Amino acid sequence: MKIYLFISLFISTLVCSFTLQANTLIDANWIVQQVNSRDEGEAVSRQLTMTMIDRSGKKRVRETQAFRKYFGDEKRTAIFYETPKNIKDTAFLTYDYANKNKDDDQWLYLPAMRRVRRISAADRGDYFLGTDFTYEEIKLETKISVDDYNHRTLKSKYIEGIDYYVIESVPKNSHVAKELGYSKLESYIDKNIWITRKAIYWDTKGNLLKTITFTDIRLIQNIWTAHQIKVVNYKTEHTTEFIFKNVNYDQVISNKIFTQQTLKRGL
Amino acid sequence: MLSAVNFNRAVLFICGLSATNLFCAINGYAQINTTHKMRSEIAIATKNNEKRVQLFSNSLSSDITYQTDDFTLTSIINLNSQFSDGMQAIFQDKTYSAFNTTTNLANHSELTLRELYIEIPLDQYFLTLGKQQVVWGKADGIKILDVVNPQSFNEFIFDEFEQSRIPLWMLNVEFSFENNDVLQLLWIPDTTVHRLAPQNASFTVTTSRIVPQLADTPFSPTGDINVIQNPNNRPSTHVKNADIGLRWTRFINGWDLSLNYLYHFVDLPLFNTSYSPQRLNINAEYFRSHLLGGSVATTFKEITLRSEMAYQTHIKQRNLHNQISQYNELTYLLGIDYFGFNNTLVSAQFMQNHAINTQPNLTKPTTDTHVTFLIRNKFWHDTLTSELLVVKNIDDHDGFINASLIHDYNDNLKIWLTTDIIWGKAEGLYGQFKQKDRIKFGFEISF
Repeated sequence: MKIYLFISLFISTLVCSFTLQANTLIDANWIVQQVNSRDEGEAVSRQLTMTMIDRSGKKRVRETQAFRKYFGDEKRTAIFYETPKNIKDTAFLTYDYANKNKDDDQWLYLPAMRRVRRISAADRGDYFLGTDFTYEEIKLETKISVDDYNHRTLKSKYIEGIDYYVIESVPKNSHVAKELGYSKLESYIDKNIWITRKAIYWDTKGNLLKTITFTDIRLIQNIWTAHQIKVVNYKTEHTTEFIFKNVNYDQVISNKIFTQQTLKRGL
Repeated sequence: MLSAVNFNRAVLFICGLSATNLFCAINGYAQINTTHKMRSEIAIATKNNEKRVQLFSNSLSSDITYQTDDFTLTSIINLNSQFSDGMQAIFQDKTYSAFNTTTNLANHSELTLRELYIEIPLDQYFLTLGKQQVVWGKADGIKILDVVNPQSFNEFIFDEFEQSRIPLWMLNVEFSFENNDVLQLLWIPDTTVHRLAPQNASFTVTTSRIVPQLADTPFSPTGDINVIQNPNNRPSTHVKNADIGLRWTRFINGWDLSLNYLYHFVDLPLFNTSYSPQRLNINAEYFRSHLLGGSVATTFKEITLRSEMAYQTHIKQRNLHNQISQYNELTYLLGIDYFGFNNTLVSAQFMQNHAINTQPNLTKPTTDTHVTFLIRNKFWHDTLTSELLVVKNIDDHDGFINASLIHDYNDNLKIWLTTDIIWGKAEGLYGQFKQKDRIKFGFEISF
């Protein structure tokens, strides 16, 4: 009799502990909403240094000027390459629309062609100009897509003085998975400032693909800003590091920056 | 040899640059950027009956930019040596206007001020004054609206357009409206025209579409004949001969639109013939034309759609009876780029050209249809590019394949290996060079 009482008490305790843990884990969609609603300023200008290192240790460095500005719901981003000499004056422009049914518009200026070329935004899983970031990640910056993934909270974790929510995001269907190039991603989100500090990606075959870490996070004009973003690609053993300098959310950025004319002429 | 006139021009040019440099340095607000590129290429013919080395070219170009808050001054100087037949001057010396000359340093070398222009942003206006390139249109590798600048055909169309386009002295004003529409006005007093490869060069134009054929003339020589190529009757450098261009561009609801107008001398001459005993004269004549056209580009998911169209008046062409026919011409192109495969671009273009209201028996078909197919892959984080381009003329059954492998070894060194395979009948635009198949190796160092 005693043994039955003990077993039933044990099971009850176990069930209660699981239920308690499930209750303390906040809904992943709410977490994603907090991340995506974090203030990122109406506009920002910054210097961006891209460093790419291949498996043999060969390093390529690009100095760029990057701008982003909201025009209502529409987000426009422009990146102008200043060095090295062989790709100087290359420029990229994107119009990202809030309406998910409307395709983004993208243009690329290649100085060798002296022409602004319209490019499809559907290649969002392609790597952006030789980096380990996809076009989609360049567009989202530190945000998380709501339209492409189903999210669930995995756990709450405390690592080196920071409280995280760990959420798992799985593409909504195989088409999206193929387009983005991922079968799953895990994001480590800082509970206090609602910023992703680490994201781990698995490829469409379920193999570990890459990790993105966001570090040197500082308050700039009252906006939390990651100044260093690093990608390690386990498949290619290639790494990309973005270092942001002179981040300015208060600078008045002319609308002309986000035109094909400026893309062609440069800054 | 360096002539006195050219020497003076070179000295003046260097003095001008030095003065600008000094001015900027003294004032202390200028940002100076320099980019130098050293480029070398060798092309080996692969057909047995051809001379082995088709081209050995070396060039050094310096791009110097002075940027201040008020203006940007850009100059590009190019020193080019070609140890091949492409630089022997017969026609080409006459193709450059008085402002736009090159300086021959030796039989195989020339110094060129490729570009020199000042850019001044003025509120809603943007002014670019000087020697420059202006690129219109959305087509790849085919020129319909991209006719503002003439082109060098020393390498036929196998050179990159950036290299082969001949910059012109012009005034270029762009006016931006509130809704981001842009109206561009061009005034081009520089009457430089296409530079064709000289006689006996690898890419000397021989097709009957362009050059009169002895067999088509009433000339029946006995014994040896002399063929005299008279100097080009290029339009003189005069205000009344200036080209005028207008372009309006707009981006609306995902569509890039442009409307273009160019009143210009057509850069490809009409070659006509005259005869005297044992002498055949070939004269190059240039004529004015109105070009009215437009372009569109948009995207649908993985597909980018590009199109351009041009209607040109007063086009002249010889007929099979060696008479000159004047007519209008409609050219249109539809291009589709597919981005559905990872890091791969697949592109196809269909271009058709119609001669309207023309007399029969022209030396070119009244309808001319070209198709192009391109597949470009990027590997190793964009450091290796493979490309296959196929161009075919449907009516003449000729065309060419260009396959290339380009490797950015590092940020300073680019190397490439390409091959050109040409087929078709000798009368065709491409087929005339069917013996010129080649393999080309090159590298470029930036510093």
